[in-house]
Parts: sequence; C-alpha cells; structure tokens
Amino acid sequence: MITLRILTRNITPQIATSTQHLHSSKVLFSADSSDSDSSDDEKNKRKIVASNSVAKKEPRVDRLNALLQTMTMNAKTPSKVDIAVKPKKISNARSQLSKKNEKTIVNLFEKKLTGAAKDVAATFGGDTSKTESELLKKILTPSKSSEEPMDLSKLVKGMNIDRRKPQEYQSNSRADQVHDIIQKTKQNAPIQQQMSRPKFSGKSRKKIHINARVTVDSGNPLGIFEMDPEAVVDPNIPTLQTWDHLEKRDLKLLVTHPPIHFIDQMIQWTEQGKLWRFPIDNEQDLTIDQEEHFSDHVFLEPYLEGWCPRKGPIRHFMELVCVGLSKNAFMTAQEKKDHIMWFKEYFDKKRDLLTELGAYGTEKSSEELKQVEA
Amino acid sequence: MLTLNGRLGSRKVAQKLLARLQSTRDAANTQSIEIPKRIERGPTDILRALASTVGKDPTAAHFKYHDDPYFIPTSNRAKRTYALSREAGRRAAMWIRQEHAELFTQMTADPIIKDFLPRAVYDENSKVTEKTLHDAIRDAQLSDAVTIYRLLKKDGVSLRTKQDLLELLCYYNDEEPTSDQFPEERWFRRSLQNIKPKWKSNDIVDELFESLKNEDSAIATAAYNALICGTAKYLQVDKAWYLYDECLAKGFPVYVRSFNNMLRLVQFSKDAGGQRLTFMMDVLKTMSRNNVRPDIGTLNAALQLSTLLKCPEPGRSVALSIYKEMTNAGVEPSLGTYFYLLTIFCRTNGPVSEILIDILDRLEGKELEIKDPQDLFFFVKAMDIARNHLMNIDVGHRVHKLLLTGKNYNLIGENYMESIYYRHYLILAVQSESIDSFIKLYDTLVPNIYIPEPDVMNEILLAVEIAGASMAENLLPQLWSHMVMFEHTQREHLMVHVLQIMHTTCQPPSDSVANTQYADIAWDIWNRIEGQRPGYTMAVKWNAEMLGNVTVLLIRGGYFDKMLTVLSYLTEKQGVYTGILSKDQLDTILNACLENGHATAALSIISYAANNGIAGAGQMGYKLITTLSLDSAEETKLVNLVGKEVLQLHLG
Repeated sequence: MITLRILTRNITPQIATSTQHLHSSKVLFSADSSDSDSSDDEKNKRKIVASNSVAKKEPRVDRLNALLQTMTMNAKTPSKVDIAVKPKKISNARSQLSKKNEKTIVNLFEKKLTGAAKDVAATFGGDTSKTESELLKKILTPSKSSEEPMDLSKLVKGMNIDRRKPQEYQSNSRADQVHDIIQKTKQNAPIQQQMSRPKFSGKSRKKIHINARVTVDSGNPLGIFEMDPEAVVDPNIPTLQTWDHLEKRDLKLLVTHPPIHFIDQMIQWTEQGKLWRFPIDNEQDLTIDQEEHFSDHVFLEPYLEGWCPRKGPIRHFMELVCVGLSKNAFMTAQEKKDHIMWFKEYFDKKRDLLTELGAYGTEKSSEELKQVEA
Repeated sequence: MLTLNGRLGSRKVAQKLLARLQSTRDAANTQSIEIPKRIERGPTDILRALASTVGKDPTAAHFKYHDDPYFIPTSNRAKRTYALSREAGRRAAMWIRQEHAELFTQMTADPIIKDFLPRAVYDENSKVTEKTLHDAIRDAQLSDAVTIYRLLKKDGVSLRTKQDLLELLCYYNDEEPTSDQFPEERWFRRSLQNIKPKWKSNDIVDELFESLKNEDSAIATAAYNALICGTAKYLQVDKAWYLYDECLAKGFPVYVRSFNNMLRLVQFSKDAGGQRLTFMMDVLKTMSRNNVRPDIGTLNAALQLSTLLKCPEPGRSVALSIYKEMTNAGVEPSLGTYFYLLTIFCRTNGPVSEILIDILDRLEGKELEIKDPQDLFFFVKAMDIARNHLMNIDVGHRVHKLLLTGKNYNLIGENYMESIYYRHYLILAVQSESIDSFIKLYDTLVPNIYIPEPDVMNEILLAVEIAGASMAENLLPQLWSHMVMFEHTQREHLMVHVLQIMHTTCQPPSDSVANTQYADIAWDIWNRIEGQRPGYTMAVKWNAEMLGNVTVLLIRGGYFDKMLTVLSYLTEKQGVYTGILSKDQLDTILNACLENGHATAALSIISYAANNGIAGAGQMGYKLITTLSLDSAEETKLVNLVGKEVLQLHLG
C-alpha cells in the first residue's frame, strides 16, 4: 500500500525541483514515478530496463506497471477484509478454525499470484525467476498481516531473514523464495522492511528530495494497541496522584515566564495567593467568621446570666463591657466570651469586699448568687 | 411651558402612558424573557480578559525593566544583569524576613498571605500533624516534608500519606524543587537540558517502600510504581528494571507513567539500534497485554528512542509508524512529538525532508498547551530547520506566526532558547529577504525583544554591503549605533568589516553627507580602540588596513586635524601594529596634506613610504616640492629621504 500512497502523492509534486526530477525519471522509466521512494525498487527497474532492448522498452514497462497496479489493488482488498472481520477475542476453537480458513484463502491467493507473476516474467524475458521473485516481493511486502501480535523471537528471526543479501534469493529455488516472502508477510512488521532498506548515500540526496514532502500520519501502524480511540477513558484508572500533581506543577512553572505587563503580574500574584481572588468577597478566606454566627458576636448578655447582679454598679459596668465587645470587629466570639469570663473570675475573687460594700445589691440577688454556686 | 404636574394632569399624557404600559405588558406576554445562566468564572478570568486587550509594543522595553531611559538595558548582558539584580533584591528581602522573623510583628494581612510569611522551621518541639505533612507534600517542600515525617513517625502515619511522601521523594529524589517565586532565575537559566543527577538512595525511601510493599495489593502497586518511576527518572537503570520485572511477575498492574519512564530507559540498556527497537516493541506489547492505554508520554518516549536509530532509515519509518499507532490509539500529539519527528527527519547530513511544512499545516492557528517538557524545544528546532535544513523564509515566517498565536509564546522555553530562535530567524531573513523587508523585521524585534549576537550582526553587515552604497548610507549609521549599544565594539572582525564597508565596498560619492557620518563612525572606532583598558586580553589590535581606512575616512569627511592624530600614530608606532598601508591610501593622505598645506605631515608620509620600500616615494617627494614651498630644513629632510637625483630628475 506504500506504493499506492506514494503514487497519489507524487501526482502533484510540491516543489519545482522535485517536478524536474520526476520528469526526468519519467523519461527514464516511462511513466513510473511510484518507486522513487525506495531506491532498491528503482535499482530493480533499472536492471529490467537495461536487460531489455531499447525499442521494446516502453510498451513492456507500461504493461508491467499496469499489471503491478492492478495486482497491488487486488492484494489490498483481502487484507482489508481480514482486519475488519477479525474480532479481538474469540473462543480458542473458533479462532483456530478461522485461522485455518484464512490460511487456505491465503494459499489460494498465493497460487494465483505466483501464477500471474510467472506469466508476466515469461512475457518479459531475461532472467525469469529473478523478475518473478521481484514482482512477488514488491506486492507482498507492504501488505498488512492480520496475524496475532508477533512475539520477540519471531521478530528477531525476521530480522535475520532481512539481513540476507538479495543474491541469496537467486541461489534458492523459486518455491523457497515464495515461501520466504510469504513467511515475511505473515510476520509483517513494517519494521523489518525498514531495517532492510539500504542506507542512503550523500549522492542520492537530491533524488530523495522528490519525496521530501512527508505527511506526518502516513506511517503504517504497528498493530500493538488495538483500542478504540473514541472509547470513554475510565476516570478511575489508578495513578500516582502526588506524582501527577508535582509534574503538573513543574510543567506550569516551565511556561510561567516573567510577567509582560501589570495585569499579567496580577494574574501571577493571584495564582500565588497574594491578591484577592475574583469574585470579590470581603470574607474571603476568613474561615473563622464563617464558623461563628453573627449573633454570637453581638448578643453577649447571656454570658452575664447567673453570676452578674441584676442591678448595681457591677451590672452597669458589665453591660458597658458587653456593648463595647459587641462592636469590636477584631475579636473572635470565643475571645469575647473569654474576656467576659475573665471579669467573672475577677469579681468572684473580690466577692467578700464587694458584698461588704454592697455592690452585689440586695439579699435576694446574693441568694441567687449562692444558688448558682451550689 | 408645561410643568411636570401639568403634564401628568393632562388627559392626553395619561392616555399615552396607559397605552405604553399596555404595550409593554403585551410584549412581556408574547415573548418570555430569558435570563441567561450564570457563567462560573475562575479567580483570574477577568484579569485574563483584561490582559487580552493589551497589545504588544515592540518599541517598549520589557515590563520588568524600570521605565526610564537610563535604566533600560541595551545589551544582552545588561538585560540579564538588571533582571537578575531585581530578583536578587526580592530574594534578599525574603532572606531577611526568614532570618529575622522576630522583627516583623505587624500582621496587617487578613486573611494571612502564606507567601509573605517566613517558612516554618520544624524541630523536635514543633507540633506537627499529618495535615502539616500533607501540606508540605502538596507545596513540594521536600526537606520540610522529610523533617515532619521523622517527627511524626513514632505516632504513626497513615498509608495514604506515606504513599504521597514516597511519590514526592521519588519525584525529586535529592534535588530541591524549583521555587515558583523567582521567574527571572528560571528565565535566565542556562539550559533546560542539564545532565540529570544520579539516583541517590535515601533511607526514608527504602523505609517507606518496605512498609508499603507488604500491604494489600492496591497500596503495594502504587508503591512499586512510584519507585519504578523514581529510579527510572534518575536513571538507576538496574534497579528500575528489577522492580519492573518484579512488579510484572507479582501481577501488579504497571501504570502508564511507569511504562513511559521505562521506555526512556531503553536507550541505556542496549546499544545496537535494532535491539533497542525490539526492546521497545516488547515494552509496548507488554503495555497492550496489560490493557494500558498509551498517553502522550508513551508517544514521546518511543519517538525519543527512534531518534537514536539510523537515519534516514529505519528511523523515519519507525517514527511514522509509532506516530500512526499512537494517534490511532487516541493519543493527542504534543509539540514535543513534532520536535522528535523533526529531529528524526531533518538531520544535518541526511536527505532533505519537508515534514515541517506538514506539521505547520496541522498546527497553524492553534493555541498550544504544554503537555511534556520536551514541548519547549519545538520552536527553536523548527526555526533551526527552516534556516539550516529547508533554507526557506516562508517556513520561517509561518513558524514565527505560530509562535505569536495566542499564548504560544510561553512555549519558547527560556531566554537562551529565545535568543537561539531569533538568531536563526534573523539570519534566515537576512540571507533570503530583500534588505528593506529585513529591516522592517529587524526594527520590530531589535532591541527590545532580541539583541543580535556579533555573528548575526556580521551577517547583517554583509547584507548591507551587498545592498550597495546608497542603502549602506541609510543603514550603517543606525547599525553602528546599535553595535555600540549592544557592546559589539570589542569584536575585531566587526570593526574591520564596518571599516571595510565604509571605505571600500560601499564608498559614497564625494558630495554625499554620508562621508561626514562615516568619518564620525571612523573617529568613534578610533577612540574606542584607543580608549581600551590597557592589558585587557580581549582588546582589539590595530592593523595597517584598519588604520589606513580610518585615516582615509577621516579625510573624506573633512576631519583633517583628527586625521593628523591617526597619522602620527601610523608613522610613529610602526611595529605596534601589523602590515603597511597601500600606495593608494598613502596618495590620498598625501593629497590631503598638500591641500591643507601641512608640509610636516606630508614629509612624514613620504618618510613612511621610503622606509617601507613603497615604490613612488620619489614621485611623492616631487609632488610635495612642487606644490608647497618648503623651508630649508624640510627640504634637506626630503632630499635625505628620496635623494636629490630623483627630485632633480623630476624637476628637470
């Protein structure tokens, strides 16, 4: 599928230089712009072209290209179906069965392909087996496998296969080659393919400029994570909460720069808790005020009940104290209560003297006092 | 005129009022009034709305500098010093507040502002509760949290708090967290990419971990993950790997964060590219098997790993595969992702790639947010590639436009990276744009946003030189004053370049006012170089070419007396400077002396020419004797210099 994508992209080349190069490559390889991506493909083509007579070159290559295109199209469809059909979890027996079916389908398809390739190679002349294997390789490598996610050993094995030099294909029999190729397709791994790609030399830099334009999401997915991106993320996934908090703090610090104007400065101060927050609230952060009711601050007479004489100088004095306290905005209710209680203790200590002086008023009130004490 | 009473009294008015009331009521009936729902506003929303109305003023110095011409910094060094001094003052104030807390008895703030209080000091006698510990952990006060924990230990600490403390210690290990009080210090920090210190084992970490790992599985899982993250973050590879394996073996879930940190370790575990790749795939597959959803950290860690692969292949295709895979799994790429892609695709020696254009297509007009510390490297990298890789000013402008979108400017990183960014941008612009449009850009950026480094200035001078004499006439005086401001006058190559432009490459026509301006500049250069502190190692040293240029420029500007000063240096201090003047320059000087009737100076020129074996001393002597009338002493001197025969030959 790589081939197809590149084809469509190259139809409208982005840069003038690339157009030029494309043009020249067209002249050379007659309307084939698809393989400028991988240079080994190009090399193959060149060999093919070289092996042919100049006069027959154009129509043959054209035919070959047309065939290649249709074949890649064909190759694309079944693999697509595989992906779509295959459910993620199926019972063991069923999966085995379906695998078997798949295998037969693939085998049939392989046969067809090999046959077709053979025909082409025959019409083409020259080194038949080589042409054929190249054709097959080109078709089969990019297709996506629907197999289970590969394991490590297989991957390593795949890497070994890939490191073989192309000459080895020639030495093997054709059946072996096909087998190898199909094996590789099953393991898939675009990675293997990538590992085997030859290194670009400095000289080829200009040629590669043709494909300098890259679409970021044109890669082949690895096929490891098969999850629905739309699926709702479970908010209760356990995480390291403090770690998250600290990381968020650090990230925020990374983008908090010296303020650029005073309002920006105020924003930073607000965030650091140095300024009043919006919406404006006079009692912001005054938690004590929220806990104490207004009446506790203002109505303090109840605290006089039980010990203070009903009239006389002490009562008069204490009432004034209460009025004063009720107007004080800087003391908490508890402090006000403590303040009154201090007077209570003070007068209690001096009770003898005060009674003698008659400050406690009538007998009745002193009786009351005794009752309270009892 | 009707009074109000009269109006109300008249029937007509009353009727009108009634009719109006009626219509209002009808309207109210037909369409019900919808009261808009209250919009919840955050504490800074109004401020942000106000801030968005403030535009950028490139002509004003940055807000942090005192708004007074004398205090506005004009060089990179001054910018740094002023800003850091200001913050050092704040730091000093905080220190005094901390050391002499007993002197500050007034508590004017109500509610109390925590930042203005000295930091609490904890010792054996201080009363601490679990809440104190929790607050210390929240505010990332590492040493305090440890002290409090030691105090609390005998009373017992809840498992939750222990876990929190373990995470704090794993996150910061041994380094003190960055304070949020000193933005300037962060801004002027040298570079983000400091080498990470190694993991330092800490008895409290061990103790916490030992006590937590034997609890029930949820708690043990969190403890394992915290320690995996910590050891992996501080590159304690073996331990992290051991814990990771143990965690998997015990069947505890591994969090995505731990996987991400492990991925970052892969690069240290294997050296060959292929093996690393296999290893990475292995970790990713383990993630998938455990049903862990990858996040942005996974994507960036995997891409970071593929930057180490061979370029262009397989690095490029692996990177694209990873990108596709992760975006398919619902990961939203961040700027850091693109930074890694750029690193992979645009190598210095690799083939050219225009991936940046595609990335810009995706990002253009978007307001970006930081999701990963690597995000901060994107803009610098993008501009670097626009300049060095693509050499395309349009791409450069697009990157810059993206930077100016919304609050994206915050993602520039720090002062150092901002300088590099603008260095790339300006050099790219000066090399590929017409001088006019470049100067427009230059005027918006310099000097308040960016001050060009000497190398950039050299490029600009080159562009001016290429633009030709008439352009240089307009620009050079301004550029020179900038160079003086930016403290570039101690760079020898810049001085040489300026002199060369004024003298040779962009010589103004003789009737131009530029001659005077250039002479002023030359005289300024002379004074600056002469006024250097003696023994200064970086001092600019004269050479004959510079001196000659200065002299000629002074002559062109009509400053004969000033020229004489330079001339006496030229003739008397031979051996202090290198090289000799050219014949052309000597002729110009001689002509000027003759025009001004200064025989002594003319004689010294001829003596210079004769001593240095410059051909034509005799001719010069002849010119002198024919133009000016010399007294006998001077005549003898002249004869001694060039010989009688030559003069007579010419006379005859």
